[in-house]
Amino acid sequence: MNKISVFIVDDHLMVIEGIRTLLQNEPDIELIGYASAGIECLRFIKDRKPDVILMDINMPGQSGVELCRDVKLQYPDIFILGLSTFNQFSYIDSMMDQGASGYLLKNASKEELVEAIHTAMKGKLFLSHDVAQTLKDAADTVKEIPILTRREKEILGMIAEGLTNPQIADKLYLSLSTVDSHRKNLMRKLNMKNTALLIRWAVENKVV
Amino acid sequence: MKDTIIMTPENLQRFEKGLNLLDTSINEFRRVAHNMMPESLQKFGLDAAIRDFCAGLNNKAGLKVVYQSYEMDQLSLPSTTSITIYRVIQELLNNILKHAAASEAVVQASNENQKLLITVEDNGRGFDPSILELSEGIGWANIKNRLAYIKGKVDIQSEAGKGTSVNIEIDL
Repeated sequence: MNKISVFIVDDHLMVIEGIRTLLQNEPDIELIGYASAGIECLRFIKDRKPDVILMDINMPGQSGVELCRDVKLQYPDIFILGLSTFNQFSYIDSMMDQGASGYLLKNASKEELVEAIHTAMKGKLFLSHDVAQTLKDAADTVKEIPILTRREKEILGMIAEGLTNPQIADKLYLSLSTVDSHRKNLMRKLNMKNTALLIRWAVENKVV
Repeated sequence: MKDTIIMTPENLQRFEKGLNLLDTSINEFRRVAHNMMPESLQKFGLDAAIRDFCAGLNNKAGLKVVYQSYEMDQLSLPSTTSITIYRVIQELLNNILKHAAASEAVVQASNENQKLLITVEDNGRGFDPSILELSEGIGWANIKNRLAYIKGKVDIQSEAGKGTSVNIEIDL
């Protein structure tokens, strides 16, 4: 069986050295090179295409997200694993959006790194445990049925009573434009086309 | 540089000291600036940064955090405005964690009629908002000052046992 060829791009030399040390005794993985910036990486892989690239995300100049996009556009069959200290949804999401095969945190163990490389090689996705948890936590911040804030419930109640925007503004000590913004946002949020539908929704859902 | 200027030993010492102080200040400044501007705010904008922050708190310390955003993804704000809003939301959520004993928090941001409406609310123990007038703590004063700086308005709805809502309004 051919060895899996791996390339690293990271602006920190210590990280590259660290990964090299971690992988040096792996019988079926071969480190074929490294780069400290996106442009060097693209230059290298033009001559020699790795199977897997371990890609840092926060690099000066071209970020990992942009590099991932560029590599995937030209070489869709190279598997890319994002490698970062950032365990935040936006970073993970943008890397995966650009076609990365996975996302690893820099505190990964050797076993995890090796597993990630093998998993990517099979065309599957690999996420560090904490990264998967972050994706779940981020998904949990979204509700299928939107939650109404107290202020929105108040305003909706007054709309249902037949109060006009100026009357509502008066009662709540708000400016007219604020009430108007709330009303428009309520319609959008609940996907209602007019006030009648909005009131019906409020009644059906026992908000008023 | 030192080699090309002739100076007395005392002045050289002063010069070195000044240079060191400058180095320290630059490093300190860099550290503070970094703290002031979270990476994801810089890279992905306010909407993403709030979502990241909410996701980071979600399911921790027994708190569920929901983030609802409307027409926020295409919004481009001056960086002072977005940092301020981000910091205020951060502070309000930290307050919920510290004081509210809540199980749920909702953060909502909407952009309508050139107006940003932001709500941070919880289902925690609530309090009498009038105590804030007397409070010596800098937390709330800090929030008000930050918002005043970007001409934002803020009001609190809270009652013992009924949770707290903070409504913020910023004209764009």
